[in-house]
Amino acid sequence: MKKFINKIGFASLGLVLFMLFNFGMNSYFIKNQQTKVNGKVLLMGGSHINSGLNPLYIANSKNLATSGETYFDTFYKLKYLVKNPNNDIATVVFGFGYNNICGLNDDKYLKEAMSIKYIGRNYSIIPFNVLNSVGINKIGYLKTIIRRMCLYPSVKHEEFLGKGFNYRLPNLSMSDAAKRVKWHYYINDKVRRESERDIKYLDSIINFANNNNIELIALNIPQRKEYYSAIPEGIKRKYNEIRKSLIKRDIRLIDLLEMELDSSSFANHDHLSYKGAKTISKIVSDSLSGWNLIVVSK
Amino acid sequence: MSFNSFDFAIFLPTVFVIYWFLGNRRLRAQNILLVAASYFFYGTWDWRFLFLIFISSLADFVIGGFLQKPNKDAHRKKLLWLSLSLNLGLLGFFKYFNFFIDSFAYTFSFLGVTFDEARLNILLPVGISFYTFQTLSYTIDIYRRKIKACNDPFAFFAYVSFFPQLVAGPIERAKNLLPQFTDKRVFNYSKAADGVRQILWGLFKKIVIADNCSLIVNSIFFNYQYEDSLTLCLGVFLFLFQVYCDFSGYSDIAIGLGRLFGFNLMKNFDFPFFSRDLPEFWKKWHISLTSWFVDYIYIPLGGSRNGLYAKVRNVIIIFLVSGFWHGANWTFIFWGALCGLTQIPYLLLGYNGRYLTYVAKGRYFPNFKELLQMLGVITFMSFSMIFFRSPNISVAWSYLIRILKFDFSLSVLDDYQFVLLIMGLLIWEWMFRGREHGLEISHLTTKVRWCLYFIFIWLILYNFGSNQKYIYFQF
Repeated sequence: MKKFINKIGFASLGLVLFMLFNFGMNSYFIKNQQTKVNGKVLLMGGSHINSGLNPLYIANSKNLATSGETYFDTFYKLKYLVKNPNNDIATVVFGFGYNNICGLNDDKYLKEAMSIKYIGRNYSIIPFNVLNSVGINKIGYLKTIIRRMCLYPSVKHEEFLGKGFNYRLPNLSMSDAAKRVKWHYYINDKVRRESERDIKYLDSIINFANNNNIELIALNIPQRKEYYSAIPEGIKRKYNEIRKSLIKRDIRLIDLLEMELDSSSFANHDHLSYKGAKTISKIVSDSLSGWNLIVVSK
Repeated sequence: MSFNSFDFAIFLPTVFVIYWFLGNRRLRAQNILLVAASYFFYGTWDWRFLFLIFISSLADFVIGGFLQKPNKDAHRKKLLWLSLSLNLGLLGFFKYFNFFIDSFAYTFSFLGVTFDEARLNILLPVGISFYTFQTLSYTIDIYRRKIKACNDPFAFFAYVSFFPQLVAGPIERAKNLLPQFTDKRVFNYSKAADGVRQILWGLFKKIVIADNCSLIVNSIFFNYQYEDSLTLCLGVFLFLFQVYCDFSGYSDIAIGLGRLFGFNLMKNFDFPFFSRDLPEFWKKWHISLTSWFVDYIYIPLGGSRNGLYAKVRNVIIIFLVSGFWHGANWTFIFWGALCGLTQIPYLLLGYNGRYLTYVAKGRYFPNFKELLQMLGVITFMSFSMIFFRSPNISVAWSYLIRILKFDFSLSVLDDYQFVLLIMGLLIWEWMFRGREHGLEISHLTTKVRWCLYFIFIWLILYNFGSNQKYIYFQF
């Protein structure tokens, strides 16, 4: 018995030391990490932007959107990138749809399975105390830190950048629109509240951009009517309030929500296909070059 | 609380240390601790489940006591029926009530008769199918006078609720496990060390292989209407390996945990992918359930004693019951029927049970015929799994029909890493076939062993994140 416990104890100690060593190395690398992005126009937001804007058609742009990204994430991402003097960010096109203010976003750091995904992307740019203050799943955090920081030393911790334009997002299908609406806007058959945290962080993004001379463009991509017409009225009202305040604050808004596209332009009810992304990217490109041709409000 | 959770990583060492601290002289105290720990473990899912397992254990303990007494046969038969009705009644209600209501209403809708379905919002207690079968084996075996009734309630309650195998088996027979609760347990270093190795192997299969496969399998089954034939085939192959690694991984952890506490649980999987025909496969897959059906259904039905027709009928019956045991859905019944029907040619030709030793014994490689045979078994089992995985029969058919459209694209190559993962697993398991588990490496030198431990732990920690539930928890 004693021999057994000694061996297990010895092995555990060795493992802990190995993990601590890697943690120390990675903390050092993160502290000295400077991320360079090649592009003056950053395309930021969640999967709608990730699969909806192809940088091939937007000059000098980079798609940094990641699936499920919230304004909370975007704020810290932008703040981190601006910190590097080698980056020259002039414009940020960010997603502004109903889903960006829905309460589902609050769960993303709270539910263990989801938190692993989001912390796994942002652990190097959002400090633990900030995450803890907005509410975080501690087990999810621990699992992520073990995986990302404790198993091997790595000089790059840039998962927050995403993998660029991606029109082949997993788990996309033309399944029932009601299911998609339910996922975003309902919990236990009741309408979710809007995410106060993300509304606050949208405000922080605007202030931060103003202070750093970055032009912001809010983009609402086209969606299928079955989807957007089923969104609860409360969310729509709140969205319209914010929309008005954005316009008051001179944020350029490209609202293409109700734009009619053929069915092959959609990957599912609220995401664009490669073809749809091409169409919308060209519109955004025209808008950036001053050709405000379509449904652009200011 | 699942084996692959942080909670369990705290729970296990705590119980282990207290258990052995109590020492083997205080057997009753150890059993009480095991009952308390097992009830705590089970209650973390939903404390209401505890009432069920308590009622089931208490009833069978009392009935077992009465069955032991020298009563008349008629009286004993009544007691047995009482035990069967109670256990199967609970199982039937919690697992199958809504299924029967739905099927009843659906059948009558063809005749133009409609019912207001009295569906109930019933929560399926985790592991009910497993511990119900375990307690049934106790009363049936006493009735058959194969074992004696247990006089120690704590030993009996510990036998029913023993946390390593409570939720998903192996389904133990009272004859094998119950005496281990009434006999002194002595800590055995090499047994415990091999238990840890088996736990490691189980965690590896679950976390590294099954959980990774589940990501792509879910995506393919979710989007099957839009996938090409090759991708759909990949989906079914990966699902078979996902189920195997998920369930056999659980069984390995359970057996390993049992060994840590001084118990010997029965083997549940015996490298089933190295089977040369389907009867051999079923001897190696979910052994504890298959043998349960043989002992308590097949043999009482007459087994193979009453001619070929009766034998075929009995085999079909146990496969149908096995399918239905897996879940209250026609897909499982269909899957069971399919597996049962494919046994018929073997029975008719007398090929059932022709392979008694493991494949390529004494050789490094299989010959060409054996390789083809094994591929055939894997292919059939993969395709049968379409019914196991689909939410209903029509989705399963649509999936099959889409495969038969033979529209191939090379997008399947994007997922090559999963194929490599499975190949790696098969090669590793091939080297260990004939052994107790895939990490039985006590014959290797200390350095090599510790290197392998490190690699396996590293891989487990690296993949320890998605924390998918065990598939068999739903059964």
